[in-house]
Amino acid sequence: MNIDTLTAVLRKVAGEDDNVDLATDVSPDTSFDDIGFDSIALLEVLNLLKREHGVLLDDDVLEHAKTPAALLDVIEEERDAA
Amino acid sequence: MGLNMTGKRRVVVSGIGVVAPGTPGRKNFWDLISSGRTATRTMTLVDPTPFRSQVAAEVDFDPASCGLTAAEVARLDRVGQFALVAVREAVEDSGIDLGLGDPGRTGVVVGTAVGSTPALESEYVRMSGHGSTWEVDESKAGPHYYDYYIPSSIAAELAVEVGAEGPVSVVSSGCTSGLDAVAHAVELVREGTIDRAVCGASDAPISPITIACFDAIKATTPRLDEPERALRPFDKSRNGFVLGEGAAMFVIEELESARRRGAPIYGELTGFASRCNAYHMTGLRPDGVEMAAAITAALDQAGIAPTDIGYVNAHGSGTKQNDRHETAAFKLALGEHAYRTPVSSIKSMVGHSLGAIGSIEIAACLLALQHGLLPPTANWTERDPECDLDYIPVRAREASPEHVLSVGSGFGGFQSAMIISRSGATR
Amino acid sequence: MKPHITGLGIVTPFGVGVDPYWTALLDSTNGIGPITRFDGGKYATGLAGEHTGFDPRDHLPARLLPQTDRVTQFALVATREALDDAAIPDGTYSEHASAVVTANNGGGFEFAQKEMQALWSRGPAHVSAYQSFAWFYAVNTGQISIRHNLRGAARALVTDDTGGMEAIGQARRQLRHDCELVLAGAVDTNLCPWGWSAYTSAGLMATDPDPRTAYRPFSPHADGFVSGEGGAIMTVERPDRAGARPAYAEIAGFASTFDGVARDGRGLERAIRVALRDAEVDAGDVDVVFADGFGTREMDDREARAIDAVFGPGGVPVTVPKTGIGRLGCAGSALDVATACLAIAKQVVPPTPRYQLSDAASALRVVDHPAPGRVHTVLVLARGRGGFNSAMVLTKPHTELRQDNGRTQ
Repeated sequence: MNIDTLTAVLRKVAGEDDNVDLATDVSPDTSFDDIGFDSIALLEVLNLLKREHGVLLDDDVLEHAKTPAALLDVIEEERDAA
Repeated sequence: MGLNMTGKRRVVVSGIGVVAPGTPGRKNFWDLISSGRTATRTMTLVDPTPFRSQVAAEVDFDPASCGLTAAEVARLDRVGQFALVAVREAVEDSGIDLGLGDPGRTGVVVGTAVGSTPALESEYVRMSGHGSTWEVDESKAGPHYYDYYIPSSIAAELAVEVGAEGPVSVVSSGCTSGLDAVAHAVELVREGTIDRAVCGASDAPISPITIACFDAIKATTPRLDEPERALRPFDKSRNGFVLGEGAAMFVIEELESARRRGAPIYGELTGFASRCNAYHMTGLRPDGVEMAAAITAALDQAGIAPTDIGYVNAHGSGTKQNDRHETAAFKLALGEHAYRTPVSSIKSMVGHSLGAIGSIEIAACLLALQHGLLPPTANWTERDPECDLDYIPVRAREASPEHVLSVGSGFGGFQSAMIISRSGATR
Repeated sequence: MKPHITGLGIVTPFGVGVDPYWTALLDSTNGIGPITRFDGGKYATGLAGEHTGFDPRDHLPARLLPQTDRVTQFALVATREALDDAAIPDGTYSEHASAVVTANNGGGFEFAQKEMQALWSRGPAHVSAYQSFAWFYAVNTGQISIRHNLRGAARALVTDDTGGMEAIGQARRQLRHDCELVLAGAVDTNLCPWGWSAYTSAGLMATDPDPRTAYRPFSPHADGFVSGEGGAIMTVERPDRAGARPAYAEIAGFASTFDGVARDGRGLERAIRVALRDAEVDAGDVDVVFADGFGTREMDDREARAIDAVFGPGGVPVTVPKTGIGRLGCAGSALDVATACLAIAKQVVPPTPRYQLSDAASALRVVDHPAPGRVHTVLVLARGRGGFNSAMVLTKPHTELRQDNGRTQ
């Protein structure tokens, strides 16, 4: 999993082509809040990660991972632990 | 003519019918919630294996022994069967002869959040070959598919049952449907459009699509051990609701006509208001300001002060977010009185039956007034610093309040509050 | 208190907006054709009034799209149109006095079909988080309230095809209590295989494959209805708060009745009489009746009997503007109310599109061409399967009537 793959997942949940261009406008350290991802959208991100990329994350991961970069770190940790 | 202090006709409840988790019937329902027992268990209506949340509060429902005919069972999904059984119990309880008087002055209002979803799902599975095709085979549709598609068929069924020819409708505002439907009927009686109504709510949502969609947002509890202690409203260890099912139906009447016929009167529906948080389809503003506004407006309509409230029947769904939100709302609306007011969530015992629960909770409030006993919050053992009110833990408590408050909160941001008052003629 | 309807938001097979709809209606343009959203040829009827050109990305932020069904997208677009049309100055209403009431028949059904397919072909983990709120009947009410910060008493009603009118009637009720502005009405679409089959399997739909003649209410050849999509959301305001801003019409009277057993037209007749009494107008004051026009012989006969019973045979002009687009589920009755508003504002009775093709033999005085003339009082009728009847009386706003009188004196 790299930032491009994660961005593709975020893009799918966000409806592809919003005013915010996820590929260029958003740095990995922009908070999910700032790019308009609410709690349900983030749950949908977790659901997609699980079913399309086989990444299983704890329910409470979103309490800590507040940015794409942070979420990516958690995903990497999970993979290393597995 | 009975008028309240705003000059409107007064509306009382004269009959109650309940189909709640456990054994159907008003008395069985009261026995369950007044004893603090719970009806949550490992799901039996659906194989729980593939799901995150595997607990449900189910009705032990045998349609035939509840008096339903084979034809009724064939044309109604479980939600309609519950409603019909509850209506018959309510009408019998009130002793009203709905054949007397102008049928055009009788209305029917039914609340339901998801209507005949399980039957729709069965139709889908059959017509699509278990989802193997996007186009579906209409020749495999059952004869009642359209009636399942549009839940107004449930209201129509009940209207035919009681011979109503006034306004008939379904109010479907998600998880506040049960409060909103009864309020809708009260408005019709108050404004003089009708004199009496059969109203309440029914839901039987326990089917794979509904279980799966609440799994997807992690709203239901993942707790697998101790299914009977799975739903823990206001408790520190709460982690989601338990899907329930059931129905509660009422006969409501204009006060003077109810008195004239010597009707039994459980209580008066004195105030109602609802608000929208305009915030998020599933999220709640932490400050509870819209629910508080609904409570305040309902108190105003009833012409009473916050300090007149002697019991709060909470939404108390047992999610982290809801119980915190609701506690904040009670403090905002009732002020310091919130700390002195007993609050409980019967969902701890009968689960969260989506649209139906609002009416089931109205029934609980009316029966509490009748018995002078407040139902408890089962499974409450550990205080959450953010939920610091008196939640009537575990055991029912004797009390005879004059006015009680019942609230609901639902997806879409809907917040509803109803005031139920002891009537001068309360039995 | 007679609420003012001040803004109209319309989505029809002719597109988004009042103008394309009204122009097409006056021209009797046919909006019915073969379904393109799925393979209509696989079903008992494959004709519909479909809004083929709708691209939600033209109207809504991308982020709303993954979480909304087409029906909710229609609702949000129609609401935006209504608010733009009403041009209510900022700060006129507090958010707690502003509310939403919509009707629904099936909810976000196409969205739900996709999720059902995901669930049953691939398993529960494939169900979207958005399924928890994209399907249920209150979805449009909730999404509208969020998008426009309308925090007053919200409601969602289901009464089959009378729903849209019921929602507008409920708006009037709420304006008498704690609301000052209500966004009310309905949009509907059943155009996905699963939703469509609910209608086709129940019968009563037209079997005539010719889009020009398939839906012909009050014709001796009527053999069923054609279904369409779209609807109307409108701003309904307290007249004392709407101020001097122009209004299309006042809601003068409303009634709903039920006749699930004796379906002889008497229930509809009763709804008409109660609505007229509520409006304090006599039958003779009614300039035109917008009929429900179900499209089967039996249902049409019942409606004709009810109209005749109140107005006398041929006693009032009758129009069925929806014959160009089909019955829009619960939303058709909301669109009919909107159309009545336009008729009053423009002083033209819109025609029953293509009625002349239907080889009419009805005793009703069916309007088949646009009829300019006095349109001060309109009676709109709606019915739903199972026994639902509703009637609403719309009148020209009183302020304008006074001005008219002033001019003629």
